[in-house]
Amino acid sequence: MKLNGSEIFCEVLVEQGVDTIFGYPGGAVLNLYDALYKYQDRIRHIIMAHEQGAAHAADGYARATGRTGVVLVTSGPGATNLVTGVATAYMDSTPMVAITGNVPTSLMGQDSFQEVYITGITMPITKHNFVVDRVEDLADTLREAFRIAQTGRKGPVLVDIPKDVTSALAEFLPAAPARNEYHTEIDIDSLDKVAAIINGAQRPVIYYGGGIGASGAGEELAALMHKAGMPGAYTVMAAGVVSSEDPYSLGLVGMHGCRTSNLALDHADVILAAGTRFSDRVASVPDEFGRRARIIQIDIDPSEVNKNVMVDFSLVGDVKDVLQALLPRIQHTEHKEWMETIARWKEEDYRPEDSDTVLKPHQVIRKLCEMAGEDAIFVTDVGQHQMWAAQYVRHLKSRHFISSGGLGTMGFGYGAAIGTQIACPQARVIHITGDGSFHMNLNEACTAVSYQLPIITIILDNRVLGMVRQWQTSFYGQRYSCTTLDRRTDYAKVAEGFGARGFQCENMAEFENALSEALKCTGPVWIACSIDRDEKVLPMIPGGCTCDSIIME
Amino acid sequence: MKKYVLSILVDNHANVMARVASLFARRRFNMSSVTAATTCDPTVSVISIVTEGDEHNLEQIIKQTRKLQEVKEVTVLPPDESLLYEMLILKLAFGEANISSLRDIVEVYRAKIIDLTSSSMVVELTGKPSKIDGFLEVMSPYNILEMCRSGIIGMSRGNQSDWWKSGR
Repeated sequence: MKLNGSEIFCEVLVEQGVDTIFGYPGGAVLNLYDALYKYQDRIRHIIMAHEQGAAHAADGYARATGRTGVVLVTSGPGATNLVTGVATAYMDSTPMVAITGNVPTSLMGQDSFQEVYITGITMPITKHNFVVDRVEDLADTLREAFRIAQTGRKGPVLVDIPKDVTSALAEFLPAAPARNEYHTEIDIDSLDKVAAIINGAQRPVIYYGGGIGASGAGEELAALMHKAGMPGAYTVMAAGVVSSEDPYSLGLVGMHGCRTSNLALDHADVILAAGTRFSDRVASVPDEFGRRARIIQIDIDPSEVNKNVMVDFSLVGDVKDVLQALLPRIQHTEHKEWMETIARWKEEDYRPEDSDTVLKPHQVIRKLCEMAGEDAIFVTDVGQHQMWAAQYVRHLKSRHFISSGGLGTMGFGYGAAIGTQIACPQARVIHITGDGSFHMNLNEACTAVSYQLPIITIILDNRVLGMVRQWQTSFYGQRYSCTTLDRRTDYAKVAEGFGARGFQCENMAEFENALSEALKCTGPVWIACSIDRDEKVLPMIPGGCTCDSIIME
Repeated sequence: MKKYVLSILVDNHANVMARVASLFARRRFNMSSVTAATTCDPTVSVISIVTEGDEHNLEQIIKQTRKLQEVKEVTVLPPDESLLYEMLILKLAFGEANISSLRDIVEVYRAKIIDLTSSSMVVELTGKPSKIDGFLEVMSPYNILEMCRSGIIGMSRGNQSDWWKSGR
C-alpha cells in the first residue's frame, strides 16, 4: 500500500497505540496536519497556546499514564519552543516522542525561513534524535523512537521530519507496537549478598525515587519495607508511589524534606537506594551522604551507579524485577529500637503553625486535599508552592503527584495539568502554582477553556519570587534583588477574560467557599490565595550542607 | 590523572561524532585527542579518544558513552598490550648551517622528508606517541613553521576483538 509520508506518520501513531497528541501547526507540518484531518476519528489532536505548553502537556500525559506522550510542532521557533519541555522530560525520565517539522531537504543548511538545526540543539537533552532523510525510513524511524522512549530508563526522543518527506510516497507495511525490550539480568550472588546485608542491618532505611513509579514497583517496595522492617524516605519524584501514610513512610527527603528522613539516612547502617540518582537536592555533600551506612543501589541505568555517591553494592535492572527477586530472600524483621528512635524524631519534627486569620500554605493545601478527595491528581509548578505541595499533600497513590523535579521548570504546571486532565478525563486535577510560575505559562488557560477541562488552579500568591527571596533572606542579607514583583494582576478578572472562572481569597472561609464552588464547575477555575511574602519553606538544609545544619525556623 | 585510550565502535551515521563530542562536552569529560574513520565494515566507524582522569572518571565515561544509541562498544585499550600509533607532519625552515643536523635527526627517528624546497621541508613521522613526543622535543630548537598530529589510533595485540567477524 503506497502512502505519503504524512499518512505513514498517522498510521504509525495508530499502530503504536497513540490516540492523543499535543501540538501546534505551522508551515513545515502542513502536510502532517492535513493527514491528521483525515485521521481525526482515530487521533485526537489537542491544540495548545504555545509549543512549550504542548511539550509539558505531553509530559503530563505520560507521567499520569505511563504511556508515551506525543507532541507535534513546526520547524524553527516551533521546535525551539519545545526545548524546555523536552529537557524537563529528559531530566525526569518521562517517555516522550517529539515530532518537529523541518524545511524541505533541498533547503536544509541554507538558513531557510523557519529553519533550525533542532537535532543539534536537542542532542544533550534527548535519549536520541533522528532526522528522517527518506520517506522509506519514516515508519521504522518513528517505531524506533517509540521503542527508545519506552525502553530501559525512559526519556524523550525527537524525530525531525523535513517537509518533502511528509509528501513523498512510499510503501507502508504495518507492524506491531514497540515494546519495552529491557530485560533484567540478576546476578544471584549479588542478590544474596544484598539480602544478607539487609537482613543483618540494625538501622536500615530505603531511599527511593522516580524509578519506582516508572517501573510500577510501589507494591513490591511497600512489601519490602514491611517485611524487612525498613522505613523509607521518598524524593519529590517518588511522592505517592508508597502511601505517605504508611507506618514505614518517613516522609520527604532532601533539601526541604523532613528532618526525620534526613536524620534517618544520616544515622542508618544500611541504605537501600532504589530508583534514585543521589541528586544534589538530596545528597548535597556526596562524601557525607549515608556516612554511617553501607549503601546498596538498585537502578536500571548502570551509569547512575557511582555517579554522584560511591556505593558499596549495586544491582542493575528494572527495580520491580530486582525487588521481586530480592523479597523472598528477606527475613521478617522488626527493628524496634530503630523505629522508636524514628518515632521520637517524628515527634520533634518541624510543624508549621496554623493561623485563624491569614492564609497559610500548609492549611490551604490540607484543606484542598480534604475537599478534593483521595483520588485527586496534583500537578505543580516550581518554587515554594511546589515544596509546600510536596510536603503537605497527602501522597496516597502513584502517578498522582506530577512535578518537574530534575529541571525545576517554572511554567511546567498548567501544560502538564492539561495533559493530565486529557489523559484522565474523570479525575479531579488540581494545579498548584505560585504567582511567579503561573505568569510564565498562564496563557494555556485558553486551552483549558476550549476543551472545557475542569482543572482547578490554586495560586499561592505572595507577590514575590518566594523561593529566591527566601535564599536572599537567609543568605544574601535581605537584599531582595528583582524578586519583589508586586504585580497588579487581578486573577479573577484574567480568568474571566479567558472564559474561565476566578476567585480571590484572603482567608480560610473564603478559600473553602471558592473551592466548593470550583468543585462544581465543568470548566477551569483559578483560585488566588494571598499569602504572606515572608512565608518560608521549612525545614531547609542549605546547599552544600548536611542535616547537621538543618534550618527549622 | 592517568591517560586512557578508548576505542569506540559506532554506527556510521551522520552526527555520530557530534553525539560523542557533545556528551564529552556536557559531562565535562576530558578529550585530549580524537580520531574517527570508517572501518572495513562501511556501516561501522571507530572513534579513538585519548582522555585523562582517574578511575572514577573513566568508569563514568565508559558507562555514559555506552548509553548513546549509536555506540556499539567501548573498550579501553590497555597501554601495555595495545598497538598505539600516531602520525606527525612537521614543516621546518632550514638554512645552510643546520640542514645536515636536521637530516641526521630525521634519519635517527626514521622519519621521512615528504616535501622539500630550498628553504623548507615537511617531515612525516609515524610511531608511538612517546616517539613523536621525543622527536618533537629534539626538533624544538629548530625553526618549526607548522605542525600537525593525527591523534592516537590503536587496537589490541593478538587475535582477540575481531568484532566485525564475530556476528555483531
